[in-house]
Amino acid sequence: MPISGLILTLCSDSKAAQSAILKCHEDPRIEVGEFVGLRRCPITLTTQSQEEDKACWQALQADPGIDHVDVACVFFDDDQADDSPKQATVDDSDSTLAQAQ
Amino acid sequence: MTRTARLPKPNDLEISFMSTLQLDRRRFLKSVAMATATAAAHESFAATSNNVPLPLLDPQVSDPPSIDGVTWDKAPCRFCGTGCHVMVGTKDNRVVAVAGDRHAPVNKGLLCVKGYHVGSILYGKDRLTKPLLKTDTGYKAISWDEAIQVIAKRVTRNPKGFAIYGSGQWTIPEGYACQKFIKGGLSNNHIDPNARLCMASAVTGFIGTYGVDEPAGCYDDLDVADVIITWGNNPAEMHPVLFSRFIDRRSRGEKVTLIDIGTRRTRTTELANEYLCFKPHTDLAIANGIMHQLIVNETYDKQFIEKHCNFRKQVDPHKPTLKGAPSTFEDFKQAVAEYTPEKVEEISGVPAEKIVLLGKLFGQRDLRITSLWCMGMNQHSAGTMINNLVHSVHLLSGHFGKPGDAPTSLTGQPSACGTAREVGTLAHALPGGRLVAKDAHRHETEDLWNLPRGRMNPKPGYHTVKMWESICTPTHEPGGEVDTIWVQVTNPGQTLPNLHKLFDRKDDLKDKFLIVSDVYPTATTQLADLILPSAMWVEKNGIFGNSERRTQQWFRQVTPPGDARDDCWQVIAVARALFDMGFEGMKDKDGKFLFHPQSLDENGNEIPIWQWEHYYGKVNVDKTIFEEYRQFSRLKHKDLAPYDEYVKARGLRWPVVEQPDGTWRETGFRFSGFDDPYVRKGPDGKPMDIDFYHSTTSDGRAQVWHYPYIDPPEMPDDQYPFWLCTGRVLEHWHSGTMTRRVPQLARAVPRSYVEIHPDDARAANIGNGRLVKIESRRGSIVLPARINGRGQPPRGSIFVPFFDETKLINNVTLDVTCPISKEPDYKKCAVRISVASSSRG
Ligand code: SF4
Repeated sequence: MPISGLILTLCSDSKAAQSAILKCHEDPRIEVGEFVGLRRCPITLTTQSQEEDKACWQALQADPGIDHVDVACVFFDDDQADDSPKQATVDDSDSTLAQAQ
Repeated sequence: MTRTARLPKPNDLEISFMSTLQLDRRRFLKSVAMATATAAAHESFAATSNNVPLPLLDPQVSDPPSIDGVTWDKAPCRFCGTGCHVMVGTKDNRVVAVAGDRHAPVNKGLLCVKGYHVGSILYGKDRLTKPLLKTDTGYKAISWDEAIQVIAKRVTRNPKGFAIYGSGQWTIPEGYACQKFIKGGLSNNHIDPNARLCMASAVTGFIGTYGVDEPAGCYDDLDVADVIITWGNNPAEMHPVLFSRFIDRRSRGEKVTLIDIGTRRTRTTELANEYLCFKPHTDLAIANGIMHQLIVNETYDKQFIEKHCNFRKQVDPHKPTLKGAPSTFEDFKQAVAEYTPEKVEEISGVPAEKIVLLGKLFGQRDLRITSLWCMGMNQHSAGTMINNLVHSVHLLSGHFGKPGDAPTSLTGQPSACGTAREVGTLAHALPGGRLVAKDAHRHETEDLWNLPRGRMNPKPGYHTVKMWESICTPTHEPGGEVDTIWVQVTNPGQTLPNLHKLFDRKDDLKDKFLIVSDVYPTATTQLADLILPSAMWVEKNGIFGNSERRTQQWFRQVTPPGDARDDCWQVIAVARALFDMGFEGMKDKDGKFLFHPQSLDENGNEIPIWQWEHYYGKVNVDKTIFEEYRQFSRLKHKDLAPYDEYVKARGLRWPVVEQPDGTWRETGFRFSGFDDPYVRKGPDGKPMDIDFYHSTTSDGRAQVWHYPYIDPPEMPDDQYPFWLCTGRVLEHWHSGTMTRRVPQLARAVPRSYVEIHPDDARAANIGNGRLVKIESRRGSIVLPARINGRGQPPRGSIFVPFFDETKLINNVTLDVTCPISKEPDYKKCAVRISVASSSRG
C-alpha cells in the first residue's frame, strides 16, 4: 500500500474548491495539509487496497473543484514492496510468455 | 473536526533517528509525505524564469526525507519527454520510495501519476529473467553465451540484412553503441528508432525552418508566456508536470490564456479559455488562416522578417522536399490570400471569428505566445508541412527568440531528443546532426571512430516502415533483404501501423529472425525467435535527453532480476563475439576492437567490458561512451559538457559551453543573442539579437514556409463515414508494457475503449459500455464504447487509445507517411462503427 504526498490545485470557483476540500476532509484515506497560497493544498493519501487507491485518484482528478493533481512523493509500504510482483494485474492470458518461462 | 496535520516547516525536513523510533512506521511515512508535499507546494516555477541558472547540485546534499535505512539518489523519470527528476529511495537492493526532486528546475519536486508509480515498474511478476530461444516446441531458456553466439551467427550469415530497431527510451550510451555497431561495424545503416513514429516530423520541421533540429526555446517559456496554444496536444494528461507550470501560475492569480486547438475535448480543454475544434488534417488551413490575418491586418513583424527570414515554398506541393524552393514575400502573400477566415471555417470547421482572434493575438507584439505540440502535429501525413507552418506563424509575427515567445515541440519518450535525434540513431543520420549521405560527414565519423576510410556506407538504411516491410517480404523478392531485426526498448508488434502488413507476416517467413531485448513479454516478443532479458531504469547507469535539450545522467541503484542485463552490454558483447570470430567490421583501422576506447580504465588498461562480470567494474562504460560521443556534439553547436558535470547537475541544456573560470554554462534560448554563445557578433561588436547560424540558406535567416491545405490520403466516405484518431491516456505510457504492470495504473484503465460522441452513439444504437465493432479497409477491432468520458470527440470522430496489447488498434490504422519525415499518420483514417454484440464490454 503506497503512502503518498500529493498537491491539489483547486479551481478558481471558490464554492467548488471548498466542496472539494470538504470531501477530502471527510475521506478517511486523506489527510489535508495547510494551504500554500489560496489554491494549492498538500494532502497525504493512504489506502488499504489497490481498489481504494484507484477510486481515490479517479475521484480527485474528476472533482470539478480540483484543477490538477501533482505528486510529491510516494513510499511503498513494506507490504506493497513484498507483494507487488505477485499482484501484477495484467491477466496471465495476456502475458504471452508466462508459460514459456 | 478537521484532520489538518501539524506540519514541519517546508525547510525543516530533517527528521531525527530518535523521532523515527517514536513514531510507528506508517505515521512516520505519512508525516514525511505531508512535509514533502508541503515543501513542493511552496516551490514556484516562476522563481527560475527569466534567467538560466546552472542547477549544479550534489545529490548527496539534496534533501529527500531522511528515512532509516533508505539511500537516495537522483534519476530522471523513466516515462515521458518532460524529463522530471526523481529522487529514488532504495533499501536492500529494492526501490522503496520515490520523491519529486525539489532541486530539479524541470519539475521542482512535482511528479504526475505515472511518475508516482515509476518505482513499481521494476517489479511486475513476469519480468524476463533468462534469454529464451524459440524452438519447435516452444521457448527454451539458454545461457547468455549461447544467445550472443546465436546473434553473432545471424550477423555473419548476412551482415547487410541485419537491422536494429530501437527507441527514444534507449539511453544515450545504448543508442550510441547500436549506432556504432551498425554503421561503423556492419556498414549497412539499417538502424531506426520508434521516434520515427513520433518525432520525425518535428525533426524535419526544425531542419526545414532553421537548418538544425530541436527547439530554440525551453520550459522557462511556460513560466512567462501570456498565451499558450496547444496544437493537437493534451499536456494535462501527456505532460502533466509541464501543465503544472501553467496551473501554478493561474493558481497565483496570473493571467495566462490557454487556447486548445484540437480534434477532441480533453482534460486540457477543461482548463482552456478557448477550444477550437477542427476537422482532422485541417490545421494546415488554420495556420495559413493566421498568416493571412497577419498580412491583411499588416500586423506581421516587418522588421523581424526583413532582418531574419527568407520565404520558401514547394514547387509541387504533391511532391514536397525538405528544402523546397526559394520564394518571395509577394509570392507568399498571394499564396495565403485565399485563406480568409470564412474559407478556413469551411475547411476546418473552426468559426471564422476564432481565426480572426488567433490572427489578432499573433498580431500583438506586446504579448508573449508559446505554441506547444507533440503527436498531433507529428503523426500527420503532412507532418513536416504543419510543423513548418507553425514555425512560420511565429516567425512571421515575430513571436520568437524572447522568453515566452516560442514554437516548442514536446517529445513523448524520455530520450527521443537525446538518443534518437542527437545521437542520430536514424537510418540516414550520424551522431551530432551529421548525415550518412555526405562524404565529409562520414569521413569525420570514420576519423572519430578510427575506422578505415570508406568503411561507412553512404546509402541511408531503411526507415522504420520500410525496415518492417522488408522483414515481412520474402528474402528472394525485391525489398526483402532485411532478414534479422534486433529490437531494443520498444514494442513494434503493438505500435507499428497496419500490423497485418508490417509485423504479422514475418511469422510465415521461416528464414527471417526477430531478436527482442525487453523487460517484460510484449506483443513483439510473441513473434520473437530470441528474447533477451534487459535491465531497466535504475537497474543500470544511464543518460537521457529530454524535450528541452536537457541531458540527464543517473547511476545504477539496484541490480536487475535474474540474468537481466543492460542493452548496451548486450551490443558490446555481440560486437566482441564477432571480433573474436575475426569479423573485419568489428576492428578499427589498427585492428583493435571497435569498442576499444570504451574499455579503457583511467590508467589506459583494457578491461573486458564484454564480460558481464567486468561491465560494472573498473570502467564506467556510460562515461567512456559519452566522452567519445560528446566530440560529435560540437560539430553542430550542440556541445555537451564532460560526463562528470552531469553527475553533479539536474541535467544541463545544450549547448553547454565552458566558461573562462572553468565552469560550464547551459543555454536556455537558442539563436538569441542574450543567451546563446554561438550567436555571432554584429558590426557593433555585440552579439546580434537573433542569428540562425545553421540557416539552410547560409545567410543567418530562418525560412517562412507556405504550404497549401491539401486533402489527406484517406477521408471518411459513405462506406467508412467516421474519422478514427488514436493516442494515449494519462495512466498508461505508450504501449503499456510497463504501466500495465503497475496494479494501480492497470486497474485505473485496464482495457482499451472507444470514445464516441453521444449523438453518433445514439444514432448507431450504442450505449455506454456496449461492444462496438470498428472497421477500416485494413482490419477491424471490437471495443467497449465510452460516451461522455474523459475525452470527448466531436460528431463524426472516434478515439481509441493504443496502450492495450490485447486490443491492437493498429490493425485498423493506415500506414501512409509524411512524404518527407516518413512518419506514419496515426491520427486519422476512415472507419465505420456498428454494434458488435448486445453484451456489455
Ligand atoms: S510528467 Fe512525464 S517525466 Fe514527469 S513524472 Fe510524469 S511521466 Fe514522469
